Amino acid sequence: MKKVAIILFPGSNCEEESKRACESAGLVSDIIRWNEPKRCRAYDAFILPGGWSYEDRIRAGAIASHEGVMDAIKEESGKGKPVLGICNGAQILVESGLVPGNLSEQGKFQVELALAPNHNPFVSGYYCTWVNIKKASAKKTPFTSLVDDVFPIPIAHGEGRFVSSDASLLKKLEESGQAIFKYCTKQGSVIDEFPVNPNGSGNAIAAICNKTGTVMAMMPHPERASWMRQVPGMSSQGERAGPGRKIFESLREYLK
Amino acid sequence: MKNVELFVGLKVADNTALTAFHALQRLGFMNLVSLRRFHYYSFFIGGDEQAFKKDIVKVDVLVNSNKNTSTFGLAKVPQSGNTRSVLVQESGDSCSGILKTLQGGLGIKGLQKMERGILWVLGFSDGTKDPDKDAGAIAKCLLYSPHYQRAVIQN
Repeated sequence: MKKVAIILFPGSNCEEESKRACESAGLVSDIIRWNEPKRCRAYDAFILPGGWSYEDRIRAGAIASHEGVMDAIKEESGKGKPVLGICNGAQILVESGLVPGNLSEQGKFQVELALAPNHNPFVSGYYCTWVNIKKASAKKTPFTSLVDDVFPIPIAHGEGRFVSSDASLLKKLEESGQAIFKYCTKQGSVIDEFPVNPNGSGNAIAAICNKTGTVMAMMPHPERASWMRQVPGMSSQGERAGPGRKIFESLREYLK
Repeated sequence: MKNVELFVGLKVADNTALTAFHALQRLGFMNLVSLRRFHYYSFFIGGDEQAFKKDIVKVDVLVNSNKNTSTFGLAKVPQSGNTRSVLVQESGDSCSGILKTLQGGLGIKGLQKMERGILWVLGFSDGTKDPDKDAGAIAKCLLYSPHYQRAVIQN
C-alpha cells in the first residue's frame, strides 16, 4: 500500500484537513513532524500543508525551507516521488528551490522564484476568498490527471504572488508547461486583474511545477474544496466529492 | 524636502530575530553572535522637522511606547563591536496604505512620501575576518529575497 506523508512544521495548520482530503480520495496518509526526516523517507509521496510555518517570520516559508526534512524531501523527490505544496507548503517549495527545480552548476537547487506579498487594490496583507482556477498546461503531473478544466477553490494567504527577478522566467515556465493552474473567471477566461487574479500573481499563475511535473506548488487550497458542502452555493450537495478532491484522487491514481 | 529616518525596535524579546539567529547558526554561521531587527521608516517631509519627529512617534501606529523603542537616524541605533547592518526593502511601493493613514486620518503634517523596510543588525565574533562578506552571505541565504526585495549592507 502506497502512503503519503503530510509534513507538519511548527505553525502548519492544515495537516488534519489535508489528511482528511487524502482519506476521502482513498489515499493512506500519516502526519510526520518536521524533525523526523528519517521517518519521512519511507513514504511514497509528500504533502506540505498550509499554515504559517515559523509564524511566517522573515518571509513565508523561508525558515522551514532550511529544515533538515527538506533535504530528505529533495532527495526523495529526486527518485520521482511526488511532492505537493499547498499555500504555505507552496511557499516552502519555492523558498527551497524545489519549484521550479533547476539546479546550479554545483548541483544545488536554485531559488529562482518567490511568493511575494499580495498586490490587491483593496486589502493589504492576508486575503481569503473563493476564486476559480483552470488547467493552463497539458503537462502530465501526478496531481492533475483527473481535475476539471475550470473549478472553484479557496485561497487564504498574504504572500501568494509568483514573482522572479528574471523577468523572462514566468514566460519560460508557461512555455515549458510548468505553469499548471491560472486564476480565471467562472467561464475559464484568464484575466490578469483583480478580482480574477486575487493577489497580482505574475501572469495570473496559481500553481507551478518542476520540469518533470512531480513537484507542484499551488497557492489555493484543494483540501478545503474536497466536499461539495464546502463550496459556496453547493452546500445542498452535502457529502459529494468537491472539485479539489480530484487533486488527491489524481495522486491516488498515479501511485497505483 | 527633508529626510527623517526612524528605526523602531522591540523592548520585549524579538521572536523573529531569535528564530532567524538560530536558523543562521544551524546553517553554519557560527561567527554570528547576535542579531537584532528594527523596522525602518524613511519619511520625506516639508515643514518643521522637530514637530514631525514628535508627532510621528506619538500616533501609536508605528511606535507603541509600551513595547517599542524608537530612534531617529542609523547612527543612533545601538551597535557595538564587530557589527554590520543589512537594510532590506521591498522593490516598488509597499507603503501607500500606511502613508494615506498617516496623512489622512492621523493628520501628520508635512509628510509627503515614505519608504519602509527592515534593518538587521548583525554582531560578529571578534575573530571574524571579513564581516562584510559574511553579512552578504547571510543576507542572501535568509534575510531577503532578491526576487522582490533589495538589501544594502552598511558598516
